[in-house]
Amino acid sequence: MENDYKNLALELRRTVLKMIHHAQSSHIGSCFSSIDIMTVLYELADLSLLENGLTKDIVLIKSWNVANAYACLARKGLLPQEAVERYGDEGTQWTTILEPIPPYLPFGTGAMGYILPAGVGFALAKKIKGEEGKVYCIISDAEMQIGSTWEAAIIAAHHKLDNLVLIIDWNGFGAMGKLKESSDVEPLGDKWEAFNWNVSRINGHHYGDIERALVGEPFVEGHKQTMPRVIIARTTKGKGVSFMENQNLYHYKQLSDEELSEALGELNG
Amino acid sequence: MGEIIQKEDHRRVFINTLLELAETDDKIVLLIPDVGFNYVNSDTLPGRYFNTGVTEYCTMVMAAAMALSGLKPYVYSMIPFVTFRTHEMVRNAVCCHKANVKILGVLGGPSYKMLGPSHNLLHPMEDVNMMQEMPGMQIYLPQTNEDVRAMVLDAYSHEKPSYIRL
Repeated sequence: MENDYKNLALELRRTVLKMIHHAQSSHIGSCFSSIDIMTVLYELADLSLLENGLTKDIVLIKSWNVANAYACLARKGLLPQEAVERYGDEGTQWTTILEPIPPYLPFGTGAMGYILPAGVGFALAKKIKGEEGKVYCIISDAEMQIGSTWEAAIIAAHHKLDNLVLIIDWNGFGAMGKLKESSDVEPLGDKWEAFNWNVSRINGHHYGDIERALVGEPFVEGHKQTMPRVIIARTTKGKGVSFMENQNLYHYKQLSDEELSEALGELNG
Repeated sequence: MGEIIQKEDHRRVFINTLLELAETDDKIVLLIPDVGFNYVNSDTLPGRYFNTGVTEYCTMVMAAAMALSGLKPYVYSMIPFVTFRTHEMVRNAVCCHKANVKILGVLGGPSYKMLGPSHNLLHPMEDVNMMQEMPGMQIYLPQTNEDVRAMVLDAYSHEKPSYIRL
């Protein structure tokens, strides 16, 4: 299984690289930080449709990693191939920051600070309606700088939303540099523990770790079984391409033809 | 000890109308960011009343997500806290998703005046000007108790995001 994920993530990295080069858009570093998590999550999530038109498991992602989601969903046949081929083209709906594309991308998390609040809304709605399924939210560590994230953290714990799973893509960088040099959010785990969440810590590029954490049960003990879960995934921004790893230049930088070719060379091994 | 007076005003008419609708519609939920003394409490709509605490940013986004899930959320607070404070959330989460969220902004009575500008409008159309810019937002400005009931019923009858000033 781990080899399957590895091959799949490699294929998705190549796809996303070409998409971002095609669109001459940003965020390749951040996309490669979260793509291993998203690869596993989109394989495990139950995306069958419920009566309300939403998927049974709801996946909310970082809006600037939408290329990953288009690539994962198009590969599964849940979005048209056009989402990949015409990524970022004017006149299409394939924006480079996520807008709502129901049912598989139900919420536009464009501005930061909306992912966990929306996740809490979806998870609480499931509780009220007695609906099955989980709500998965992927956020960046920089999202922990935002007040609305903490409002949501309090509400989720208060209502014991055990159907809510938060994954933090902890690469240590914001848009402009290291979080330690802007407004530091560490220690991450202690903060969530203090907010009464169920915390697990994993390597966000280790497929076995990711799968075990997403499935979840082994990490949950005692009274915390009824609490929301957070998976703190240590990641490397730009993971998989040597000249992009931990180089925050690739948060914004568009890719030249040479950079595309060199990166593809590495990903083709 | 001062007497708690339960007068029949816009807020009371709204709550009573909502309770009436909720009798036959279990999709209605009421979200209160810690306001509503003398009008709502935990006995109001059991299981569908949520005092979310002082969390307006999150509450407005949650309301949008709950609406997309098929529920009918009503978000109730004093005007500044469900308009100016949550301006971006109303724009992005509610309106850009065409989410069926009803926003209730309490204008308050003469006693509000001495709460100062944070709790009042700086000019009579300040909230309406903001809401008019919001795509698809239906705006209701009831003047009488009868208006409140009629407008709450009208807003309920469609799925567009709505702002009702009480």
